[in-house]
Amino acid sequence: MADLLEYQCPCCAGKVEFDPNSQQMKCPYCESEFTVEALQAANESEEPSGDQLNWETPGSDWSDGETDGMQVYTCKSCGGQIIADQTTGASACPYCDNPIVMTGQFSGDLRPDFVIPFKLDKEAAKKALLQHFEGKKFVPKVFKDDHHIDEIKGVYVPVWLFDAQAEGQFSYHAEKVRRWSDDRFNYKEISHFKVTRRGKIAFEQVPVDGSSKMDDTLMESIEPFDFKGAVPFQTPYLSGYLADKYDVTAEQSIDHANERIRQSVADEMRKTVIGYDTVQTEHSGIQLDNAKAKYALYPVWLLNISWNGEKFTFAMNGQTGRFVGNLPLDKGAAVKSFCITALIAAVIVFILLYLFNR
Amino acid sequence: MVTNILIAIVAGIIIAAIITGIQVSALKSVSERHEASDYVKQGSLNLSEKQDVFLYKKTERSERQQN
Repeated sequence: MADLLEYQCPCCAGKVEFDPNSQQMKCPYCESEFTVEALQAANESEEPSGDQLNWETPGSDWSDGETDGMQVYTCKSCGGQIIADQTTGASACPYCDNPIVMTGQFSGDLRPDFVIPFKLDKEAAKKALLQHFEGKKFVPKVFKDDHHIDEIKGVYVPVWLFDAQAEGQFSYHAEKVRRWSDDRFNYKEISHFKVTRRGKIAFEQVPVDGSSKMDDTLMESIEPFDFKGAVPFQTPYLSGYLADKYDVTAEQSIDHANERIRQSVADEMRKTVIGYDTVQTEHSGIQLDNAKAKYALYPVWLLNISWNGEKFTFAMNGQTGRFVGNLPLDKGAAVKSFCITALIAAVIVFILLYLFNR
Repeated sequence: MVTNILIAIVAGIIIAAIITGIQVSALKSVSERHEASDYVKQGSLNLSEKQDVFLYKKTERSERQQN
């Protein structure tokens, strides 16, 4: 016996049958009628297809003599390894502020493909730090007067850059609402729609922090970096700055890049669903392919300030000047300000109520 | 009189909480990014399928209050 094709009613999920009188599909339970096309669209099941991740390996080998001037410095406290030229004046670890010592000639590892050179110098970084403090309340006075700002360091942070071609399929349930009234009633009419979108979007140079010591969240906070400012890597760019060695491989960084790309694919597709009052995503599937990873060094100005047993790190995008860093809260000052504000506000409200009720 | 004092105190606390809350949140500037919108290649969005299908409509009504 042949299998009967069953269609579900989008309204009440009952089994819909063809009604010869109306020549349309009709649900015997809720009496809704649909065209064949509408019912087929509503009943299409989307199986989100799997991802195809095909990342090519980045970086290249160093040529002879290129690494001659580069030394590895090791931090005795956090174990971090920094690369700098022999003339670097740096003596403190940019991540934990403890002393670093030269432990040997740099060799091996991957040679970066690109570098975004520093566009903003140390003076600009110091100015940005002071501006960051301005206008902020409840920062302990001692913290603001601290004279560590000279220790701000320029560090090249290793990043993995992912290119990707993404393909997404989305289906949504959307509604349009119409309201009107007559003498007796208020009316509300809701029209329901099944919306599908399928398309491709390309992504370029999505950066993922390749150093475990550089906090990922801090690095993301100073984005975006503009890849148009990148140049093919040459060792002289490192001179006068520190460079961090990568220690998080490209494969480990992929997951986070994936999540960000997926979210943006969903956002871009959602933007094409217009003209509705409410939209809900029902099914989604995203496949990423033709992905390429590159290895680059991105410029960051870093400063650590320790206060009250806690470490506060400030970072500035060395290309765009974007400055971030969480500031400590002086709880006492905050509570005092809260009480004074509450008192003044209460007095003002009381006076207004008195005048209003006269 | 007493009611006015109570209202003033509650209002004062709420206003102070909002103002202090804004000032404290200004101290935080570090946050994770969950999207990659800065890295979308301009003009690369290419839709191969775009379907908006009408399914059904439902109308509700409620009686207006007769004065």
